[in-house]
Amino acid sequence: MAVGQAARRAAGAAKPARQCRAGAFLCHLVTSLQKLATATRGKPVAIVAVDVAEVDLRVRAFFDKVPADFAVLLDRDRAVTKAWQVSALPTTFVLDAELAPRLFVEGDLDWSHAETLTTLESLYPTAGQHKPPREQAGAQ
Amino acid sequence: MHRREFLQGTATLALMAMLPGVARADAVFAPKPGAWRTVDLVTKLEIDRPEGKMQAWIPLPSVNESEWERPGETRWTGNAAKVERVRDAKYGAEMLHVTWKDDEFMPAIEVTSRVMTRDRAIDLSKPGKVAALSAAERKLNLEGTDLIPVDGIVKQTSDKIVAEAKAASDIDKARALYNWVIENTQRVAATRGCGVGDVAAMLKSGNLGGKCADLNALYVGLARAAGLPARDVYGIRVLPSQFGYKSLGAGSVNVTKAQHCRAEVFLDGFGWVPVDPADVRKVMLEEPPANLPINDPKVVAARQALFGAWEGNWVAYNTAHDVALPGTKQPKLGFLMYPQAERASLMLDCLDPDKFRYAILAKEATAT
Repeated sequence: MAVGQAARRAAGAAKPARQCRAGAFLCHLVTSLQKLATATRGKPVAIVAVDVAEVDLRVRAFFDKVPADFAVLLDRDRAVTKAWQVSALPTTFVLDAELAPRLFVEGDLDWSHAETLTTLESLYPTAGQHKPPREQAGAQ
Repeated sequence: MHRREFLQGTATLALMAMLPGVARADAVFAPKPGAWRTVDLVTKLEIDRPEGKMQAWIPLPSVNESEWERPGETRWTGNAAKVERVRDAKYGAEMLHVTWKDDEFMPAIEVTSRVMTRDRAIDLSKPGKVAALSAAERKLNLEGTDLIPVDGIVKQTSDKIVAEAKAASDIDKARALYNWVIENTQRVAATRGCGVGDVAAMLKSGNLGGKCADLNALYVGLARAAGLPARDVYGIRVLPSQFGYKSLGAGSVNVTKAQHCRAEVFLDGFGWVPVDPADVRKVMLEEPPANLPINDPKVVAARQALFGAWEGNWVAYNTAHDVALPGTKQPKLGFLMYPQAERASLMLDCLDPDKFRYAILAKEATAT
């Protein structure tokens, strides 16, 4: 399972996670995904974030303040956003073990919520289906 | 007095009674063409932590309109290896393309552009003799851009607004769209810079919050989709408002973060008409004491003026979209309103002037 996270920083300058403010939704979003990463450590889950059309240094500066241990890719010219027909940010896709899109979410979501985790677990590969290099394969 | 006139007058009084703010009528925002003001716009730019190939692109005032903006001389000083004045072929947006030697340890340039500006107001009560747009200009200002499509949800939304307003004439359509943007969007203080201007995403998500590059781009997209030539005009506030509106003017000579995008719609018989629904929302959010209701006298006065007029305390850079910067393979910019720079193949963050580093100052030279 891989998660692609497209996010635009439309609501304010990034703040350190411990200083998340109501308007800094991206800060909350990354924090939420990081909680998911922690909760699913050792599980067949890979998280990939995609930043849309922001300069590299701005993205680096943000993740310096809000650390995350998942990959962050840069869709500098919106090509990936267009290819995935993303029309609202943030949008999250959940892929299955075969990398087929199974779920998507427009807007914010508590990724560490028990119900969310249960839904994700339902997409875990069954015995014999797990492919170790999925993390790379899931990167778009 | 004829009975009909009396009834009309009574209806007006009744409406004003329902809107107590309007009845006070103590706010004035009424730009009128008058004296020209001359401003020196100074951009001071340094490349922080110099490394590798370094170049910068500085927007220049390149909107030349005899009635409201007359760009003058641009001069510069610094240690660049090459400075070239470049003009975007499609929109005519001008910029200074600056490159430094790779080993330049303190790359810097200071650019001063003199520009004359004045208030603008179109008499919308009666059409006059105005030259029509050329076919090429009409096409340019009706087509979609990367972030402002004029089909799909933008077209559907525009059609719905026009139909619900029962707007038949072009001016009625333009006004209906103006009112819709004011009444359905919000200015979001936390939006970085002036926003992105991704119009389709705004409409699909239903999140109509943002700043001028979002809200006025939305107006431009809706107008183009309605068959009205329209364009964003990217610029910067340079002087305080002479009408006392703190939210609609520069707070000091330091205008580093005073960029502002306005809009225009072309109406036969009137020409290019200034339109700025984003500034109406700005007045509502920011004008002291802040969070003003839509019927506050200050909001009403601004709303009435900003369809057909704008104040000449602002300088237009250009009307360009999807701008390719010369000398780099970086993706096109949605618009060119901020200084841009590249260091070792990485674009600097134009929305972070303190780290970039740049500062923009505006000094009034003379009043004529």
